[in-house]
Amino acid sequence: MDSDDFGDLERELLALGDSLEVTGPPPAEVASAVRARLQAPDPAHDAPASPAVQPERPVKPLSKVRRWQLVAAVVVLALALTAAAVVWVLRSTGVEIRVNDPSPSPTVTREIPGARSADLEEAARQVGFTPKVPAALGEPSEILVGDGRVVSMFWDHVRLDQFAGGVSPMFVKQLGGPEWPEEVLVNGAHGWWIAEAHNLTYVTKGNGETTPLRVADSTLVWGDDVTGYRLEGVKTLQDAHRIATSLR
Amino acid sequence: MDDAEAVARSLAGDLSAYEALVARYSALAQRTAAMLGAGDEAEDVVQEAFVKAYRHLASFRADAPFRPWLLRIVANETHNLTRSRGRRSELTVRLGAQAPVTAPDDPEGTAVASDRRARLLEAVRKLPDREREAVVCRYFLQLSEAETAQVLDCPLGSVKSRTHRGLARLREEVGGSGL
Repeated sequence: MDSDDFGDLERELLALGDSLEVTGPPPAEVASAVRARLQAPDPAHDAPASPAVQPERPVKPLSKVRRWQLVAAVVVLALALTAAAVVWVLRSTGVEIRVNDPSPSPTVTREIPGARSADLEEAARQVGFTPKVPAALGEPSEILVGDGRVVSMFWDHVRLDQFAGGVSPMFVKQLGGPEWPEEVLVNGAHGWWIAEAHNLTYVTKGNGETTPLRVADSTLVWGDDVTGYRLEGVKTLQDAHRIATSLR
Repeated sequence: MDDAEAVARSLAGDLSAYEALVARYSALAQRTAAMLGAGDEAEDVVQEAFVKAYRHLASFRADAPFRPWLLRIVANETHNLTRSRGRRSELTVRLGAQAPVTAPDDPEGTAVASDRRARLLEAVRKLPDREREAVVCRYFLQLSEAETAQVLDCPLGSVKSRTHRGLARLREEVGGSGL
């Protein structure tokens, strides 16, 4: 077998396999669901066919009440199990986008924990990098620094967040449907255009605590090698792209 | 508690030992079912497979590895499901994780790579059933040839030839390495 001829392709397939994410219920949940089924009345059928050995706990006929409880437990588990699906995880600097991952929408809108008003100079001092301003929008009406690492600028219905990106996400965006966001280039840096409203969660520095922020409007996320950006509230990719490329 | 001990204790009626086995293999079983075509019903398939595995535990050879034995039951359950639904068994998972999209040195290269990955996945999906199953087992589930033979219930030689034919077809479809 000349498998060596396919070495590159085999390596590619292995890498591809690694990037395929299949989510299911947590193992402990599967285990208890299986156990519940095995303990259901019908011991003759469910016991392993090993004649010499007696089950450790003899299965007694269940009273009516217990049988009902058992059915209820199985139904609840079954509901929990069918909710699982395949989630696609995309990444941009400091941002994780989860596609096909429906979640309950935040009912209130929150700001990034610890957000305080600041001017540009003060913001730069706090986050350790110099925030950029999009020339296309002009001076922001307000600037906030959140969690000591995110600079947020505001204009009418438009918001730009800037953050020093790391490997672990600060923002998690959950898209309920299976459609991928559009992959784009912003000044040579990769990004994603999310046209639909989606749930936005913030992951706090250090302790990893998550805070549901809000249902976010259409957003462009992108990042260069050190800084991540998310521009929210611009209606079209064309406009968002024009603003994003005007950062100075 | 290793697999052999867990199996022995399960056979003796210790459901907690079996629960431990289920927990240990549920993610792999889920992955196998999804990739062999169970789609949204992978959870049901997995649960059914574990229940059946327990019922047939006495037929399991104590000195054999548990993993491929279990996955064969998962594969059978998946086949039963796709047959009963009258549909082709399809690879229903899709691209999960992306490499970081901001590869600092070569953003365009990253785009090319992710496009190639999507095309490769599409090509795997379009393979004839037998070739696709062999390729999925060998590379996506990272099973050995022997394990693949057991899971797909076919001779070792068939695994080799199906994999080989599948790889040849994939190469034809997506070309040589672009990475």
